[in-house]
Amino acid sequence: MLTDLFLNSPNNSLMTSLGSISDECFQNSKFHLAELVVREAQIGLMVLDTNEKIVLFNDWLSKAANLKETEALGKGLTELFPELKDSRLQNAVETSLQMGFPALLSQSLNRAPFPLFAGEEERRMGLRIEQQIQVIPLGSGDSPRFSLVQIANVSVAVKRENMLLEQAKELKRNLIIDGLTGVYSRRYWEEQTLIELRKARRACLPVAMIMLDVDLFKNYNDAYGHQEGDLCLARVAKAAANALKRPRDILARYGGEEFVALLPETDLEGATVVSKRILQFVESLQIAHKQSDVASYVTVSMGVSCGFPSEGESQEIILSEADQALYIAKAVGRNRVVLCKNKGFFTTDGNAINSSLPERRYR
Amino acid sequence: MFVLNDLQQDALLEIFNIGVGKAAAALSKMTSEEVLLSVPTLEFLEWEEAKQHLPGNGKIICGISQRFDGPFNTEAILMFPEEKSLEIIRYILGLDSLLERLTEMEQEALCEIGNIVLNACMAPIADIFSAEFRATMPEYRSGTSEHVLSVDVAETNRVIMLMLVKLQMEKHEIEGYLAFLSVLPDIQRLTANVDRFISEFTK
Amino acid sequence: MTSKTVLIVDDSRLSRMIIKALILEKYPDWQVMETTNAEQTLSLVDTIEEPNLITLDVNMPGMDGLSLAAIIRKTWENVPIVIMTANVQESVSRKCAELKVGFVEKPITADSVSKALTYME
Repeated sequence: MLTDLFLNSPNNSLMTSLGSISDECFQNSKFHLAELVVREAQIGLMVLDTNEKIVLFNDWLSKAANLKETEALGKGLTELFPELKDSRLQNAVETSLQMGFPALLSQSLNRAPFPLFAGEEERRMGLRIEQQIQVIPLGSGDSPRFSLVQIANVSVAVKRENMLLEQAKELKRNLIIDGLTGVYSRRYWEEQTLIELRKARRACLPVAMIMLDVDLFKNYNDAYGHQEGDLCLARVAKAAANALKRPRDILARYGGEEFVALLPETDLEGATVVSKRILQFVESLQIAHKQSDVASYVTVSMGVSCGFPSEGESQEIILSEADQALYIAKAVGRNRVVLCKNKGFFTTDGNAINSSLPERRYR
Repeated sequence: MFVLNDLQQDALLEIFNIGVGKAAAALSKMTSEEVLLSVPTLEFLEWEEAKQHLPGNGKIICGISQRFDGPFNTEAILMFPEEKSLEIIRYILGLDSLLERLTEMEQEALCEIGNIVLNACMAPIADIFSAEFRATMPEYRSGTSEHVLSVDVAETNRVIMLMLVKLQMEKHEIEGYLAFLSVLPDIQRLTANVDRFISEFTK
Repeated sequence: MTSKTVLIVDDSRLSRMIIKALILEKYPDWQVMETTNAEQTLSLVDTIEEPNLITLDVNMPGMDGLSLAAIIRKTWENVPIVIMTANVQESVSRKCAELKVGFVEKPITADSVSKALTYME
């Protein structure tokens, strides 16, 4: 092997060992080619002997480390790079020399062990080249062993991957948040509902839900245009979300101008308080609505229901009751809250609503 | 079928047990978590049979493998179910789980973890045999365990040695495996080494 | 030195052979007993006199060596116990310290066995 010949030469340096070969022979030899390759390779190459002394230090490394080859040769690894003392890299070099095992040092787990910089600017700013390092034992058996440390610049790959992660984060945010209104998405609401219902079932606690609809929103859009309509939805959503006080309470856009709230560990009484607060918060926005026959401003209607998942009341049942209550709230005049309790419907003051309305199917 | 006598089998298991102990210690150090080890199993099987014994139930697993050539040749593999590989690596790197697949950089980090664990495992084995192994760089593979552990097609009809150890990390409910695969000629070299090792103590 | 009794608990026959050989090489008149698992060991605990030293493997089929050490201690409060394992995790050495038992790293060699024997003193 070519490298064996280089490295087993009694002289420490690759270059001095080559100097002993006659010039003509050298020019034509594979050594010359190998020397050129090592010198020009766009990757860091360093070889250490059994005493962990540097016997090869190529140009790429020399430039990135801002060290002349002559400054590096003959020095110990930690003598040249004191910060590598007791590092994983030093350990890997020792293992490769003693056991003959190779080692991979990933950028993720090691970042940038060597003080290598792409240029002066980066050096001044302390921005190291991101490194992937391979430690490869050379030679085996009776011949003396060497350790090749190969350093690749993976800065571009790191940057690309960080971009990918940023995009994934953005994507994930979009899955959680409704883009138009800024409240939670229906998908996230459903995920959380599953989790909360499971918790409530185990702990025998109630879960309440509120269905909310912006009154006569179609008229609002007709009167003010879709752009104003979108703004109105966002403002109402924000006000409603602000009316939810506990961190686990979640308001999500259910679709169109409909919103839904999940209130874990809340009974009907608690949910009534919350829904009345929503009504009040939206009212205080005083968004003018000239096409409404309910009020001169934008109002909302809500249906409230509560259930014990431990007694077999599923998400579908609780939501469907809230939806029916909402339907009744709209049917009996809008701008109000209707509660569903034991299959009956009530005002927030506890008065029963005798409704002979046809039952609306839960979507 | 290839059989070892009791003492050979026992010696082989004990030698690997020592390696696996060091491997578990290395993994524990990286994850700051206790790693529980099963008692290793050792079987000599035809590849077709061996496939039935592989862990993972046909699920996708991630494996890091390194080939060690020395007193005997073996393919050493550290493997985890895919979703658990994500969990381990992101736990070690302190990252959020945003993507459902390992990124290139994460695969590389997993390779490094495999490298540390497998080297830790083989070092005492080399010491016991007073010999050296040449080892390849760690390689990342993902697929079913059959694919990840696949042996050379030309050798598939021959007897292979399959050694399996289960690694359990309790806090993260992670179960991984360390597997060692050797084909027949290597098994014979291995047993010759084991015999030499035994004779040193029983003379 | 008067004759001593050592109990070796290890599922590996070879490990037991090696430990025994290394002890008898140094102290031919000592008595060495062997068991291969926790169950065997515990039935022995009820029938024999307290030995001068017990060496325990950790990774054995059935109960592991550390749990076994805790149970042995209920009968023989002060018997010197030494754990012999290649499993050098922090959690293992911590448990050893809690149980006040010795800890010797495998592989089994003349050195590791003499280190194990020092726990008798």
